[in-house]
Amino acid sequence: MVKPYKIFLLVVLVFSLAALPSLFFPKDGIKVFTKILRFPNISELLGVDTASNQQLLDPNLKNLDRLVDSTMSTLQIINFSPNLKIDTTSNPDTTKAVDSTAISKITADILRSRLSRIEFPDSNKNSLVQFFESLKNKLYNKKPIRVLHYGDSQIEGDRITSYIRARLQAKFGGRGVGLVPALPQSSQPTGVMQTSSSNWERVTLADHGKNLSGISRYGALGGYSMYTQSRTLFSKSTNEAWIEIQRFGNENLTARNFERLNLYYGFNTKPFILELNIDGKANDAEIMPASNSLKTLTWDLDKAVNTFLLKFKGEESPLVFGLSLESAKGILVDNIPIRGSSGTDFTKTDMDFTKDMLQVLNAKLIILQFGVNVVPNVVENYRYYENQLYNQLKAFLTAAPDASIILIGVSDVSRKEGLHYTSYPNIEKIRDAQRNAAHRAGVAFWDCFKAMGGKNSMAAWENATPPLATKDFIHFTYRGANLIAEMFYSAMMYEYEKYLLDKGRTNKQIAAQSDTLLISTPLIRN
Amino acid sequence: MFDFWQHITHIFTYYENRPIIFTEFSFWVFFSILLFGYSFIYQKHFLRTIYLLLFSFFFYYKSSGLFFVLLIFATICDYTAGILIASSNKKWARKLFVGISVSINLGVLSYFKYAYFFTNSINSIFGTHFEVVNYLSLWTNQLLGSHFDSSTIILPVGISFYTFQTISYTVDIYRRKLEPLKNILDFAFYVSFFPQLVAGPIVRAAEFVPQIYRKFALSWAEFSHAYFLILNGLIKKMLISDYISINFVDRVFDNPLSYSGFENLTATYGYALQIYCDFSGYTDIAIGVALLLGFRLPINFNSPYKAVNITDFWHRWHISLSSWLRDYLYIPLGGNRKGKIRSYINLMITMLLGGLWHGANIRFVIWGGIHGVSLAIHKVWTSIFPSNKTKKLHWKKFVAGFITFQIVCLSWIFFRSAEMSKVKDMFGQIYYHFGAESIFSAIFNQPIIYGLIALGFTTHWLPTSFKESYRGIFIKSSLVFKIVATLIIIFVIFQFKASEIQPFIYFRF
Repeated sequence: MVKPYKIFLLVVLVFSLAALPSLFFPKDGIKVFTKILRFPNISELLGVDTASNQQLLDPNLKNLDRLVDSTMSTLQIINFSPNLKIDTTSNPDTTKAVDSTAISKITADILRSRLSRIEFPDSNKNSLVQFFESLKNKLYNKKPIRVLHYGDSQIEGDRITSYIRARLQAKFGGRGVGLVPALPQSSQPTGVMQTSSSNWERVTLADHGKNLSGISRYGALGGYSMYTQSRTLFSKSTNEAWIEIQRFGNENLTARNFERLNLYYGFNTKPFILELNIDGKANDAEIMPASNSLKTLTWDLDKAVNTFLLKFKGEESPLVFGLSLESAKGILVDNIPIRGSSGTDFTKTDMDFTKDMLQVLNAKLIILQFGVNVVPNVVENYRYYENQLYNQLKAFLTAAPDASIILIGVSDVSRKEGLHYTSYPNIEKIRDAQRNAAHRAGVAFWDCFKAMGGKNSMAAWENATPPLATKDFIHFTYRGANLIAEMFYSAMMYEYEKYLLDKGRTNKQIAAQSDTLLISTPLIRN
Repeated sequence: MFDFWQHITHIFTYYENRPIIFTEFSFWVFFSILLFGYSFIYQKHFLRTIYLLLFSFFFYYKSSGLFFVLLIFATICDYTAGILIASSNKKWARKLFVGISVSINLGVLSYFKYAYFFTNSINSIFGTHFEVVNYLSLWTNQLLGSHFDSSTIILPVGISFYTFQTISYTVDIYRRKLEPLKNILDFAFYVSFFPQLVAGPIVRAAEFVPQIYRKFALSWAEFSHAYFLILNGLIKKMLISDYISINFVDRVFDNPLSYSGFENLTATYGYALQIYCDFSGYTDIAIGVALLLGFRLPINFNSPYKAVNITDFWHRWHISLSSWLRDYLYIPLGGNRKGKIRSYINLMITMLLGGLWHGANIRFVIWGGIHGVSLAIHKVWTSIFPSNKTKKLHWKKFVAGFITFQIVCLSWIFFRSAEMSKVKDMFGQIYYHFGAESIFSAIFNQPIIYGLIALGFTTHWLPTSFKESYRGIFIKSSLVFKIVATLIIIFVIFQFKASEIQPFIYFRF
């Protein structure tokens, strides 16, 4: 018979023996070939170490997260009746609609406590002026103005962008998800269901150099699509392709209720036939002549119609740079993820062409959000990255003289050291390189890493309930993406309100147009 | 010295998300302290019960904090109900008392587990705006002036398990299969015995209660068997399950569209392995720990993925749950005694509710539905083609096992995905973007992951006789051998636990 005291002695013996090697081996382990072997020490064995070192989310951030969550669903469904004026100050109905929603629940106090401000370069304190002026002068009432949000996989699936869009459209009007490629991305934005024939191929600028076509015109979406692989696959025969767009989801979603479809294409040496089917009925077939530049086609869409099918017929595919689902007025916000990119590939492309397209699109703000792809490769010095980014920003400044540019810095990425998750050691260096690049180029910068809570914040975001980041310790969940987007949005609106104040608007006038009311609370002044 | 006291207070404070679990080293500290005291009193029944009960309460308090009250509440209610049922001679009175007991148990369970599910369902169907209020926190705050959050309801740890145990107790008394316990402490001990409290197995009173009065006895073979189960459980849980979940399965299920169809499919198989290793590993340890204290708990898993049909699967998977559902849900519904149609309906109800028991979400209902339909189809199949048990061809067994495994894995997709849209995404990726051309690069990018999954399944599918033989070797081995084996296992597990997160598959995000 085995008596309990023997088992007790056994457990104690096993623990002591297990802890013994840690007395003789270094804490960080020993290297055997390529692997590091570590020996548990007594505090790790007793579990006291892990218990006290868990990363916890800042309580203010947690409160903000809850409010953002309740706001998001309301924001998406603010229903603009068709004849409603978009200006919030002059139309009591919209003001009421906005005020009565949960937006007003996001109190200035919580936002202020977490406000991570936009940093402006010394050389250009007014670097968001183009965007702010277009808002102040209500240019969006004549034709829609655009915000293009470029990023890596961090924004895939309309993450972050969708929230910024919902916020801006609730305030300044506008509908639809904006630009989408011909070949739908793996994760689609809410409000739309897009399908395409299987012969579409898409080339993005992240593939640049790998594709043999030699085409370097990628346009504003950083990629183009074709339905004939080598452009003329079966030289004599006619090729056909289609793209179908359906309104999808809740009837009140602003993203769903787009009223206009634009097609951006060009560079076809042979004519092709384009046909728009509406709810399955053929409509509007036209022969498009050969072209050597960017062409835009626009269709006004009936809100009652749900399904739109674009049919292409012709032996050579034009380059299709994208479609836009949009409204006739207001703000459009485009989600442009380029997976695997560090944001340094734009200059490899034909920026003159990008310039043409940005002009046509009426771009007023360009947001660039990159950095996580630089993280896994740890080096001493990030001067090279700073220089590369600087060149991109300069190129964008030339390509979009009428738009403001803002760079969003790298988000925190964790790795495991021993039993704990800690930030990669190079995050701050990368962030600094990005900030320097922005400041040298005269472009605004927003520090995402700082907004998250700085060092080791990713572990806390992942650890939050519900989680704000996924288990790869790199990407935000939708919830986390909304939270970071709210922080960015409020930082931007803070600057906008400040801008208006500087331009002689009174607090009262601003308050009438504001949903965050950051400025009119007296505590903030720098 | 200050540090030491800080650690001591840590030990006695409840932290959200920091329960004592078998795979944390802190559990083994808890267990050795318990063993030390146990050495002095293990031969005295009454003292032994009180002693283990106190430790079990502490264990539950560490897992659940305030919800400790619920455990006590359930204990008092069902103990009283048991006595009332047994002492009533009238049929209606017995029915009434058992009805009250079951209603209270299910009421509390539903409130904590399904309040959100039902409010959301009602709100979305009727367009209402009901909100969930945590009355336990609200009342406690009013009574004690405390500040528990009353706007959210958190599911108390283990409530699904101990509720089923207490239901089985009162129902068994009602069915006159069991005499009520005389002493409430004995009953409390049965309900809250810590090895099975949090995640099963679901123990029946009839099996457990007699052991309370039995003398402590643990032979060398039993000790070695318990030792084997604990080590086996630790390997399953910490080496296989934890590692593949954090480095592979979770990532794919979080973001199916970032991975090829092949990776989505292998992540599904990976999850099948993960959940088995996680759950069965945990119950292995529970059974082993209980055995070291002299208590025998029922077996809960029996190589479930070896099942050759879905009925067989449920005889091997979470056995204590499936037999509970059979005895306390399927049979009371009428079982197969009321004709064929009724028995299919009963089967379906049982599996749908069984699905809901796993969690308050439509996904679990669908999971149960897939199993219910499969069970029904299998029933029809066997009634048309009665199987010849004596002669079964190997290839037939293989094909049947393969189909069963695929169905089970299909159901796991619903079980694991965070939301229905992710389920759709996974099917979409597997169907439209399988990525056959990148299969090799996917495997060679994650050699440890794919290696572990392969190793896990290979071990799982080894013949039982072979597994028995190495278990036998371990049982017969000397203590020194066992200790050396333990040290090696601890060391390897620690390397896996302390290793860096495996880099993202493509290194480009």
